[in-house]
Amino acid sequence: MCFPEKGCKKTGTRRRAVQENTAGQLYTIEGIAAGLIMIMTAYLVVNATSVYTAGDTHISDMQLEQLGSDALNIMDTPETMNAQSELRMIINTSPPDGGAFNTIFLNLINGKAGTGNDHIQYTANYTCRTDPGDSIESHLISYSRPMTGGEHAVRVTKWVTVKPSFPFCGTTNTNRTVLAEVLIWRD
Amino acid sequence: MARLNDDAQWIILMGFLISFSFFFLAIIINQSTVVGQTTAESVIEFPKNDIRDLRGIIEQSANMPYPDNATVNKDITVLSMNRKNAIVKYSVFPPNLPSNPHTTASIHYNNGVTTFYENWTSL
Amino acid sequence: MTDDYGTLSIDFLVGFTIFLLAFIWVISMIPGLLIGLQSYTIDYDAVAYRTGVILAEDPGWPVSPAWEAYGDPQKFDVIRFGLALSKDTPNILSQDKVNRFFSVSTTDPSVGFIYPDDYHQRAIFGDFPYSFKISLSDLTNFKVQSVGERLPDDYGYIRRVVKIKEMSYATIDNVYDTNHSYIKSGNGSASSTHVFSLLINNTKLLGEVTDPAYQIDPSREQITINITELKNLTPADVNLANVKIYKLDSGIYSNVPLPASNNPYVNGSNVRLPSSWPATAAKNVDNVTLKFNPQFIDSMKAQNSNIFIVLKFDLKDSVTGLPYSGTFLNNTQALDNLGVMNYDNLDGQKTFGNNPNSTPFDYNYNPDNVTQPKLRDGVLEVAVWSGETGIDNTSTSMGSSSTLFSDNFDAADAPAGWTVTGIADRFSGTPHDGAASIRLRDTPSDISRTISTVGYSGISFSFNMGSKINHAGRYIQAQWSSDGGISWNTVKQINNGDPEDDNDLHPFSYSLPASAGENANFRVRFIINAINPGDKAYVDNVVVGGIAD
Repeated sequence: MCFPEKGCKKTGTRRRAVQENTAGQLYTIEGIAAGLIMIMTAYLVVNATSVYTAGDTHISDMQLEQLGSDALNIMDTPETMNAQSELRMIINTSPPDGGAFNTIFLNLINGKAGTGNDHIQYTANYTCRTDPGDSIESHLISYSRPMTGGEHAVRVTKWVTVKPSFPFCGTTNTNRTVLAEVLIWRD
Repeated sequence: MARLNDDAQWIILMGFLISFSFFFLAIIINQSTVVGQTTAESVIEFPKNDIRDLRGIIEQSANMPYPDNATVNKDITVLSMNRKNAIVKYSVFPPNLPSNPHTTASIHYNNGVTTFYENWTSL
Repeated sequence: MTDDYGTLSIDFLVGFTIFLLAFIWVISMIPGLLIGLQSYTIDYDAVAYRTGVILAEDPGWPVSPAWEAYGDPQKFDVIRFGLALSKDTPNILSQDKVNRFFSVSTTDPSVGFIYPDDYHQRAIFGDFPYSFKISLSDLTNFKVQSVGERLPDDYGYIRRVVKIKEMSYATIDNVYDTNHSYIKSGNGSASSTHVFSLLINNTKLLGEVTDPAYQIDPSREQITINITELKNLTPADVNLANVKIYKLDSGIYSNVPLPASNNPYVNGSNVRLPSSWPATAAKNVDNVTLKFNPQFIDSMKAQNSNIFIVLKFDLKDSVTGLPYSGTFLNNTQALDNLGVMNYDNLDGQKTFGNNPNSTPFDYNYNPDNVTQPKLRDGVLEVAVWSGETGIDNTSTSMGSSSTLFSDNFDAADAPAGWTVTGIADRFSGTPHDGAASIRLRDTPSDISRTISTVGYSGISFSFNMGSKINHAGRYIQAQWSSDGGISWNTVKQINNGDPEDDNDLHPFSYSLPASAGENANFRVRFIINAINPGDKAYVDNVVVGGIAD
C-alpha cells in the first residue's frame, strides 16, 4: 500500500479504505510516558535529598561548648565563702599561672564518671582593655598542645574580675574585668 | 468528530500518582534530617552562658567603689564588642535609702540574634 | 464499537509492561532515600542534653517543700527531678537531692524511687521508652553514683561539670567538752543532771550570707551536730535522757515536739533512737549525733527565729546505778520560778543568759565552731539510647557500699564457719527470721568469726539481735575487734530488763570507725554471759558491708 507519509507518491491509484489498528499504540505510548515521568521524578528526588553526617548537625560542637563553659564556670566558683576562685588567682599573677590552669582545666574537662578519660585539648588566653582607651591586648595563659589548624575547635569564654597589685593593662591596684577565652577541640 | 481516545489515560495518571507521592516522601524525609541539626544549632546559637556570665559579673561589679566600677563598665563594653560581637550597656544604681535599700542595675545585651534586657535588683 | 471480547491487545500489554518495569525500578530506589533516616543519634543526643540541663541547672519541682523530702506516699506530687541547689545557682548541686535521686530500687519504694518508671516521668520525659544511664562522679572523693542500664555501643551523650555542696556539720569534741564542763545545772547544788543547749540563729544564718551556694539553711539542707568523747569527761555512766526543741519567736519561747523521725543517733549507730526513747533513757552514751531533716525545720516556720536544741544528760554511778554528781558538759541552768531545777519547764528566760558561761553553742559561720559547707568538683553524665541492655548492678545500690559478708543462718549447718564456745544452736522457733536464727543459751557462750575487710573502708556492721534473760546482771553483747579478738569493742548490749529483752529480734546497724576497714583481722562476736539455764540470746541476719577502694 502506498501512503504519502511513507514517502511514496500517490500516483492517483485507488486508495483503499484500510486502516491500521493503532488503538493499542495508545497504551504503549502512555506506558512509556508514565515510565519516563516516574524515572525523571525519582532522579530529581534522589539527587535532592541530602544525607547529613554527624558533623553537619553540630551536636559534638554543642557538647564541647557546654562542657567548656561549665569547666570555666566551675573554675571561677570559689570553694568556700570569702575564698578566691582558682581562675581569678591564676590571672592575678604575673605571668599568669599556666601550670595551675593546665592541671585544673584538663582535670575538669577530661574527667569521666566511668572508666577512662576523654581526650580534649585546649589553648587559653585572656583579653583585656588597655586603660585609658579602647584598644585591647591578649595574653596567653597556657595550652595543652599546639593547635595545628586541622581540628574543629570551639571557643568558650568567661568574664573574670581581678585586682592585680602589679601594672596590668594600664592600671595598678584597680578592679579590672578581663575575658578569659579558651579554644577547645577533641583529639 | 472523533473523540480523543482516552482509554489509557489511567496509566499516565498512575505514573503521575507515583511521582507525586515520591515528591511528598522526599519532602518529609528532607524535613526529618533537619530536625537534629536545628536542635543543636539552636542550643549553640542562644547565648545562655554568655548572659548568665554577664549577669554574674555585673553583680560583682555592683559592689565596687568608684572609679573602679566605671573602669569595669568600660572593660565589659569594649571587650564584648570586640571579642563577643555583642553590644552590652548597663548601669548600676546604688541604694537610695531609706526608700530603696537595694542596689539595682539595668542591663541591655544584644548579639545581633538575641536581645536581653533586665532590671536587676540585689537581695 | 469497542471490542469487549476480553482479550488484551499486544500493544496494551507492551505499554503496561513498560510502565510496570519502570514502576518497579523506581520503587526499589525508595529504600535508598531512607538511608539518611538513621537519625537516632541526633535524637538521643538532644534528649540527653535536655535531661542534663534539667538535672544540673534546675532544682526540681516542687521546691518548697523540696521534692527530695517526699516519701513514697507523696511520690506522685514530685513533678520533676532536679539536682541544683536553687534556680539561681545552676551547676551547683545539693547533696540531699543527689542522695535522694540516686537511691534506687526496682521493687521497694521505701528504699528509693522505682527504676525505670519514676525516672522516665520525672527526668527523661517523652512517650518513647528511652533507656538511660545517669552517673555522678565526685572528683574529690573518687566516688561514683549511677542509675540506669549498661551502656551499649552507640548512645546519645552529654557531660556536665558541676560542684556539689557539702552539708555543714559541727563536731563538739573533747576540747570543747572539757572547757564547758561544770558541776551544776541546779541552783548552787551539785547535780547529776546536766543540760547542754545549742542555738541555730536563723535570722543571722540567712542574713549574713545570701548566696545559696555558701549559705547554711537548716530548712533546706540537713545539718549535723556530733557531740563526741563524752565518756572521757566522767567515770560515771552517761545517759541521754531527753532532747527538747524550743523556738524563740519575737521574744516568746515555745516548745516544738521532737518527732521520732528526728530522734538522735547514739554511739555511731545508723539507726535513730527508737520511739520508746525518751521514756527509757539511752544508756552508756559516748557520742550523740543530731541530724534534723530539713522538712522538720521547715515545718517549724522559723526563718526569722532562733531554734534552741536542749539536751539533758543524767549521770549514774556505773557500779551502784545511783545518781552521780560530778562535772559534765553543760551550759544551761534549768531552773523554774522558785530557783529549783526543773528541766521539764524550761522557759528559756532563766535558762539561757543568767550564767555567763551558759551561752548556747552557736551553729554559725565561724569555722572554729562549724565546718562550713564546701563545694566539691563533680562530673554529671547522661547517656540515652533505646533498647534494653540490662541494669548495671554495680552501681544501683544506695551509695556505693557493697556487702562483704552476710549470714542469715538459714543453712542446715548453721552456724558453720563461726567459732563456737558454749551452746549456740540453729533455732527455728520464735524468734527467727527466714528459716532459722542462732540461739546462745544457758552458759557463757559466744559465736565469732574473722572477716577480712582488706580493700574496703567505711565498714558497716548490721544484725538482728534479741534476748530473753531472766536473771539480773546478765546480758548479751554484739562486739567487733580490729586485732583478731585480743580486744573487743561492744556496739550493742542488751541487759536483763531492757526493752529489747523481749524474746524478739530487733535490727541494729552501726558504722564502724576507720580501724575496722583494710583489716585482715577484723572479727565480730556475739556473746552471752549467762550462767543460769533459761537465759537465751538470739542472733540473725548478720551483714558486714563496706565501700570498695
